[in-house]
Amino acid sequence: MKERETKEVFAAFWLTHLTKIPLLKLKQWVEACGGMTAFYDEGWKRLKGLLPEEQVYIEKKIKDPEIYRNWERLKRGEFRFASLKDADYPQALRKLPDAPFGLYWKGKLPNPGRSCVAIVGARKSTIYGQEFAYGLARELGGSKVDVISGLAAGIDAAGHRGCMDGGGITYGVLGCGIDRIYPKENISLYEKMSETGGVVSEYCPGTAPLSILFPRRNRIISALSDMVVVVEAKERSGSLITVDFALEQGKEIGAVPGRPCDPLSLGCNRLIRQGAKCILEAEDVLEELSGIITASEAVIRPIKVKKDLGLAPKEKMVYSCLRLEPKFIDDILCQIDLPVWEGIQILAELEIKGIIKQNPHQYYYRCPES
Amino acid sequence: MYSSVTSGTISGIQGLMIHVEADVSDGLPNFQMVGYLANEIRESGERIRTAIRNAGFELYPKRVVINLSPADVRKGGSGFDLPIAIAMLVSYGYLSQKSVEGAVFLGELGLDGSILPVNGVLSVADCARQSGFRKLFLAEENRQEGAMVHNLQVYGVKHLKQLAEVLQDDRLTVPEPGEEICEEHEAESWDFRNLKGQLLARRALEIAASGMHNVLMSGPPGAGKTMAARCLTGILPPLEFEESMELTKIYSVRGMLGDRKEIIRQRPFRAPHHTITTTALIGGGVIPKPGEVSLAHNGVLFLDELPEFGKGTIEAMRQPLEEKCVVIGRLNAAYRFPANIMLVGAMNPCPCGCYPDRNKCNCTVNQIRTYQGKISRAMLDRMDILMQLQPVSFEAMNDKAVCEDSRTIRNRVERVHQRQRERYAEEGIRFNSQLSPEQLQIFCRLTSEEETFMKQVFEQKQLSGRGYHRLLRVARTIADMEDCEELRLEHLQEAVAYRISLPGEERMI
Repeated sequence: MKERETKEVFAAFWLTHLTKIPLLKLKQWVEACGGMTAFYDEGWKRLKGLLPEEQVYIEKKIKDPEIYRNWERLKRGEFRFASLKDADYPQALRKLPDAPFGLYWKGKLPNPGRSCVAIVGARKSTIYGQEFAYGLARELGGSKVDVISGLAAGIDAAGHRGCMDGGGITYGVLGCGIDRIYPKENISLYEKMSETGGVVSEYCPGTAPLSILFPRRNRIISALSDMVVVVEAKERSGSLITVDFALEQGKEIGAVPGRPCDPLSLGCNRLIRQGAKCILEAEDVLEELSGIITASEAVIRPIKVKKDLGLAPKEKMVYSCLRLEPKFIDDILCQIDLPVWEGIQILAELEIKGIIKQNPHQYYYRCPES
Repeated sequence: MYSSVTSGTISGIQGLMIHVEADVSDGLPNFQMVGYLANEIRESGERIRTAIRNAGFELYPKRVVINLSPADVRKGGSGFDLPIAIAMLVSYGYLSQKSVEGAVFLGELGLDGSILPVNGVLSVADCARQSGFRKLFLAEENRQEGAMVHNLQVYGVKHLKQLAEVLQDDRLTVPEPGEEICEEHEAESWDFRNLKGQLLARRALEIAASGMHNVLMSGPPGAGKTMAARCLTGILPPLEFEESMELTKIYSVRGMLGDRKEIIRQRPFRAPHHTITTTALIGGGVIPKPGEVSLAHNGVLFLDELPEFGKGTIEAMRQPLEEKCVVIGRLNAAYRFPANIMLVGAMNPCPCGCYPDRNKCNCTVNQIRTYQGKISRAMLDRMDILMQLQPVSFEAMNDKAVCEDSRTIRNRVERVHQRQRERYAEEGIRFNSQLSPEQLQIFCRLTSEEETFMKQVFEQKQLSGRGYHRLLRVARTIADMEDCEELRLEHLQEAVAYRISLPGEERMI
């Protein structure tokens, strides 16, 4: 019994390494053979309609030492793996027509008993968008809602980071092998997540981050979540692919509105026009989630910190000039009725107090949470 | 007959006295020069003898030995022609040994006996005075440069014959040319009056000029970075006399004093192009010469388009920025060139220049990171004031209100310089930017409240020890600008605003 299970797992493991054959075609073949183990055990030889080069490819892969090396790494516990048939394999994924044969992960897999929100958006995003995603994820994390995203630069990273800082659990779905870190600057995020949350990938170890792989993994992001929230997206954005998958899978969609003329918000605004939930704060997300999960499952406790900032009159004047959107220091100095040196000094003071922030280009903005 | 004449050469930018000995004796006619000589001196023998003959002196066939001492210093340059010629004239008996005592000779000879100018005269003149010499004989063109040194009689001579006549006869003197009137040339086209809008830049540059702090400006093309930097020259007060002397020596060694050969009074503003080599920037060469960092000594070195400079070139400046001098090591000597500069850098934030305006900038995150990464963290750490410039609006540009002009600002800056000079008279430094960590403890004493604040800043901004010290120095300058002897919280707070937190590893800047 045990042996048969291991064989099943290895067959699935091997199948994930057949990267050159489209997943749906492979699934058809496996079905025709009557299972993953059967396909691996010479079943593929009896199949009709295989092109000669496909036969050569599979033949080669049977003996590929790379696969055995990866298998050894799995045995050593470098990462974990669950085949389609395993109990560990997420139920939400199994329903997909193109469910991967197996899933690699580090840390843990999302807990189906907890609600999970996908926060996605542009990689080339504004500070404003990143701060919003961060603040949203932080509150969700604090309300025991998990956050899932793609561990990319920009909005994704901000969402992960926010959830972690809020004390929540966050999961990242990679568009490359589980042992590759892309983009590189997310290395510390990757390491923290594989300890406190989870990093997931359907691609075999060593897979390079190719642009064609990224849209496909979005179906996993949407499948594993209860709701997809888009923070910043251009008219044609990869985040919208996630939305399409989510709609197919019957998930809720939320979008953060922006100014109508802002190209980085065009995708979001259109989603809202088409009926997506308009997300202005974390409570909007929690409200939507409460329709999905029964109240007993999770304690949804919106945390809202409204503290009195206790500012001096001059500080208030400077603070009232600022918005969530970064504003250049010269523009601030022009607006406030104070000598230049005093304006600069108050800005620095507020920054050190943690009430406002600046990006390294001397654009100041309010901290979203204050 | 033996004779000895004094001349000088330069080592780095310091002068060094060299004794030129000549001995003329009977024997097989021969001409030999010894004393660790470079090629240009070795081959000068024929030139010197021809020049002497053309000056009207006959050289009988004799055995002539010339020695330049001390023998362990490598001697180069063309300034030894004249002293060798004089030493030979004394040895041949045309001049008396007494007539050349207490005098220093420096100059190149033409074949016709004319005396030609050389570089580095000021350093030799200064050294001659310190060594107790009273007279200096030079080419006419070098006279003014040598005359910058007080308590030294400097004679400009056109021809070897003329010089010999003066030395032969005490009553004759070299005619003194009328004192030239040097007008203050202050045609400043770059004036702060024209730097409209740019409130931050105006304030930050005034602070930088007041304490001679390093500045890095970043901003999209057309924001006015170059203009702001050029305006700096107008608000820097003129050089002190000692500063002038030091700087003029450097220019003299490089032969860059121009035709007028007068002392440099204005603070230098050097703006080398970004294709400059490391050697040209720092200094070096077979016989080490000062580079741009030394030419900008006591003034501004402006590096426009900083990321376009060679990576090694920028990083090579790290040590001079800390030590305030360049030391070039050679097997037999180490040459020290002063390089107390105020570094002003300008750069775009990304290859296209528009970041962080994401509607205009289409650079990838990696491109931006690579571009900004060309300036290392270590280099950024050496900047006292980091600031951002954005293009001014049309309204600000056409604002009829008159901005403060450079002259007004310079008066304020001069006052702050004066204040620092008085305070640091005993310390051997001139500006706040030169304060050492020990001196910071004395002049930037913090109260407990301020210490709490600085602790917060230190942690939040992830400052290095160096960054922390730089922050204190800027705060010291801000306090000085307000004539405030103690350092107060608001000064520290303003200084913090000029210290942009450095790009983090993960978060996009």
